[in-house]
Amino acid sequence: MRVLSAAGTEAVAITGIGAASPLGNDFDTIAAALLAGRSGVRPIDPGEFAREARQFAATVAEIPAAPAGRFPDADAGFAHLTRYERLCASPVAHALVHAGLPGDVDPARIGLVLGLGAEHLKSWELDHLAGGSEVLAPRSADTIVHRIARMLGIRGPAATVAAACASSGYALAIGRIWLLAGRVDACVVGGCDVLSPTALAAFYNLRALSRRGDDPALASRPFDRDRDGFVMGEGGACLVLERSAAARRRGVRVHGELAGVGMSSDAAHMVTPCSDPAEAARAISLALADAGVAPDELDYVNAHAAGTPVGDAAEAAAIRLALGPAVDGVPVSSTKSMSGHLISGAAAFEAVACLVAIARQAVPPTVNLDHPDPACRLDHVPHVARPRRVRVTASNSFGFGGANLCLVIRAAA
Amino acid sequence: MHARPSPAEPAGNPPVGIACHAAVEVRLSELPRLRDLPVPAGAPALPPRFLRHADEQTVVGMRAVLEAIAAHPLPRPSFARYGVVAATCRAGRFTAAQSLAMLRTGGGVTVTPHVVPQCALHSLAGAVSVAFGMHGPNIGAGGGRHAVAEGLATAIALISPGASAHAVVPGIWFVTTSWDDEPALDHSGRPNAAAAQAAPPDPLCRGLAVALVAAGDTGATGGAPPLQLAVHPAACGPDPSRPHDPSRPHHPSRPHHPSRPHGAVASARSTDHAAHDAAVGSVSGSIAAEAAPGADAFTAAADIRGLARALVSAPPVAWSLRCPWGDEIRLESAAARAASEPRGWREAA
Repeated sequence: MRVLSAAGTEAVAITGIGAASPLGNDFDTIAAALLAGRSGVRPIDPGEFAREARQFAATVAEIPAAPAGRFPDADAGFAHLTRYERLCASPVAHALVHAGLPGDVDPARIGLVLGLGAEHLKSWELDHLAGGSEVLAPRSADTIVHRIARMLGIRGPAATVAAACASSGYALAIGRIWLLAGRVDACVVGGCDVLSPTALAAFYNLRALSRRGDDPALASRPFDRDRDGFVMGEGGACLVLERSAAARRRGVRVHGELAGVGMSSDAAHMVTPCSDPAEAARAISLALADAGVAPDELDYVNAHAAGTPVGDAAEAAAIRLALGPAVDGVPVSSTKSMSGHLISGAAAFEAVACLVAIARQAVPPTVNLDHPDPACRLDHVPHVARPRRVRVTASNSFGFGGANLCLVIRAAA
Repeated sequence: MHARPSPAEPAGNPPVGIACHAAVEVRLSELPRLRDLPVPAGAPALPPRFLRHADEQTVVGMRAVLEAIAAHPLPRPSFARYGVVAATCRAGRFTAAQSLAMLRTGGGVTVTPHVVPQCALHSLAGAVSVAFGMHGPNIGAGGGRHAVAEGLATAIALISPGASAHAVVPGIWFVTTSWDDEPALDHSGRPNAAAAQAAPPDPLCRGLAVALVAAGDTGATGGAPPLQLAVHPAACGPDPSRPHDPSRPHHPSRPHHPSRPHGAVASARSTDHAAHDAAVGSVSGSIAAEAAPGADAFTAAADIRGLARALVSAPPVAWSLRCPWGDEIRLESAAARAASEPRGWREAA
């Protein structure tokens, strides 16, 4: 039996979730933090990071090791990984175990797609800070995705994809296509990022970061009139995708469905969002059409909104254009107000936030939204979570290079 | 339209056609001039100073796209709905090294803000999308020595009808770049003349741009594209002779004569590779995969060179690339492919 969505596309189940994030490393902890409006932004060690950049970020306090006894190579090797590698590998391992994989699924039919927008930049920098010279004369042979696949016994297709701040969303999109095309039976998809001094300095020098240092937890203020930039975060999440019918056959719990994906490009500027919201809106409309969902069927939109003056207003215009008259009845929030901006890992983490909304029947809030910007007129959820029926959600992600992506995630049928 | 294969069969994507292509080779010393070089006749102009802050591999990849557009058969279709998949290999290293040097000596204020938008894995794809007004998805892929395999697996998936009508685009520009040998840099992040004894003094960067369309698309070239790329899935997982094993180096692709069996050629190991195996030796640890620097077995250049040579041969020769996960990506003539039914797919009514 094939389960088809309203649009005729076979349903894709989400059967595993793994995370390493500023708001926690497991679903229940993340859900509690998101619905309580708890911020993961905290001061960071000024000696470790560029002193000119503000001394706060959303950091991962502790990275969970791979589950013991499940991956022999990881048992031996996880502790020897760099922090960046552990941030990437941990969500993959936990998502696999959460989904009960490999179980009786052939490891050659399990794929891995990670959105890592700047793997080499980060790896070179961390090596440099540890006294290495990899950036001057590279010696590493493989990229992280292949090293993780090898360590965890994933033998199907593996790829790194990148679309800047939308990278892990594109990983979900490519993994879903591989699954629907029959190339894999299960695919671990997601992404991650790690804080680094150069990235902090570069974003700061781009004037993209908030300079509101008096109280770090108040700095990330998406859609607020007084927003002045985003707060960098680190970490990410991974999901396991399977065909719904296959998941049912395996008897595993389905946490939700990746029902639709929409992708487009502004083709306007390498950094600045396009003033014309047409292409961002087209990504949202494509995702809704892919899922067979009408705008008024949406119960929640998790916005990309990072807290930049230009980006938030551009996204609000795109949401209004895509949803049309239905927009005023669809709650919108930005969980970056709590998690910070996880860059490459943001889209996957925000997909988890959508699953939280579905599981807990409540919309996570946008904290620090004291004075909604009139240029961002939407049905905001300020400060506190809003209980409501949530079955169909959408999550937006936008990245440098004009990349636009929207995912539709809904409750399992 | 294609039906999905049954779960029991190894599934492959339907083939994709090649509407046009171009390959470029650029010496390090030529790169500054290339940033401002006029576009080839017949190619669209770039925005003024568009490549001023671009990474070296973006400059080379962009040139390959310009040359391919200039060579595209007329009348050309609009590229407005095309997507871009750009597979680079360690792009951004020059700027990263310079930024790290600046950070050390001058602090964060000296770090260029261009390092993130211009030197990351997405940068080439974003630049092609912006420069040519392509509104389909723009995605970076790969980033390392398997960039060509990862990029093609991504690009072919995006253009195949196996997924969803809403995700399919009319065409994808697949662009890939790599240095033959990674230039050694000095501590200021500039090419290191002293280290040039161990590497070519003027390293070569390769770029290849290929316009991919649905195999039956007659609108892109005025007829069905004569050349196709197809993914042939692994029958039983990764080839044990391929570099999924960390103790073995990458075995790059190569063109081969169509009369030779694919598998035999693809898995053949040259003397160079055997020697390299010996040099690298066995690596302990589960995730470490360190190798000696310098050889192009650690870049994507050999794969780019192999596909480029196969495409420009007259007549084009077959080519295959064994992916690290065991799939084989093959360049085939449409006529030859039509003679044999691809495994795992059937035409639907």
